[in-house]
Amino acid sequence: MQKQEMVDLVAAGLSRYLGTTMAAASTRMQCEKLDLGATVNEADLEALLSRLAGGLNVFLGREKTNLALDEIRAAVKGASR
Amino acid sequence: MKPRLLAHLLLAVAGLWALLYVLRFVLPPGTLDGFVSELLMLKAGTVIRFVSLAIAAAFAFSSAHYLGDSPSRFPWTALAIGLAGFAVGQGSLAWHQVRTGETPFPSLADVFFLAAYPFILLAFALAIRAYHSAGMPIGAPRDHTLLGLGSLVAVLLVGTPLLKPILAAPTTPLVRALNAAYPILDFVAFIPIFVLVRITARFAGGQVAAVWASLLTGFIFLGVADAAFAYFQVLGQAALDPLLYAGFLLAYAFIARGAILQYEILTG
Repeated sequence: MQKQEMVDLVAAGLSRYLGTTMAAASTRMQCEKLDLGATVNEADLEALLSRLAGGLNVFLGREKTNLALDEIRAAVKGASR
Repeated sequence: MKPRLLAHLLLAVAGLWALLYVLRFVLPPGTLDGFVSELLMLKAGTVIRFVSLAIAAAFAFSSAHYLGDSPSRFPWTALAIGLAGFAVGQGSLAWHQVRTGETPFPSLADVFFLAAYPFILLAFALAIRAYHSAGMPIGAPRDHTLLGLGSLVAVLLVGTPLLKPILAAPTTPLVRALNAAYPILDFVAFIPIFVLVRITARFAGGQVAAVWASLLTGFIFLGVADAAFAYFQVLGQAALDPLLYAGFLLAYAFIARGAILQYEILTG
């Protein structure tokens, strides 16, 4: 999967909670920290979600964060089939 | 009842009652008496304020519980304790107002109101710290410190002339101290509130922003209403009281809505 596609899907999943701008900015920021290539795999997705989880926990709590990330995982996996 | 529906209902009832207060102020005296008496307005208004605060405290405690190991648990716990203090204070005031139709000042309620403020201020400070720990692009701590300092200057510029007549008023030392304490505490609260407004703006369109927009709107209404209360007392302008009651109603309803929306994020 292309990195941009994954970033868009992850940001879309977060926008409900964080708003479109913050969701996109947070996802982009964590991607830059991970220094991902143009093409990404499942391990990259997990690394990105793991980085986002810490921040999301502040706003959503652990349980809701896990639910939100599961939804994002499903959306990304569905799109990469 | 779904939490969101409760939030809408509470805001609608408080908004309607606030509108009645405003109408009572702007219309010629006695115009509304055939529809709703002044005594009923006082009694229902104080009960609505108490219910709003009790709901706000309950949902804030629940939110703190559901936040689990999140760094936001501490600010929500502090906020819940502060709101519970407000609720007990308002409950004691409501008890007196419903029974006698009078509003005592000072009263036992002031003990609880004042005791609640340190928890509210602590909640705001801890919320800012927790949000910085999230590692999201919410702005640099240095920028927020500068904004806080700017807010302090603005608060001093606005607050000092407002406090002068309050402190010079010919009244008992206790009333004078209370009249000064509420606006001072509210103005101090404005400093972290402005920082939180800035942070919240970055989450525009999201559920997190909706929570804080509602909470902060409530606390801004509260600050303005408290300052106006003290000022009107000094001026002896009892005719302006309906506007104060409208302000307090909206303040508590918005705060309750914020707590309910936070609970809904965590459990919905």
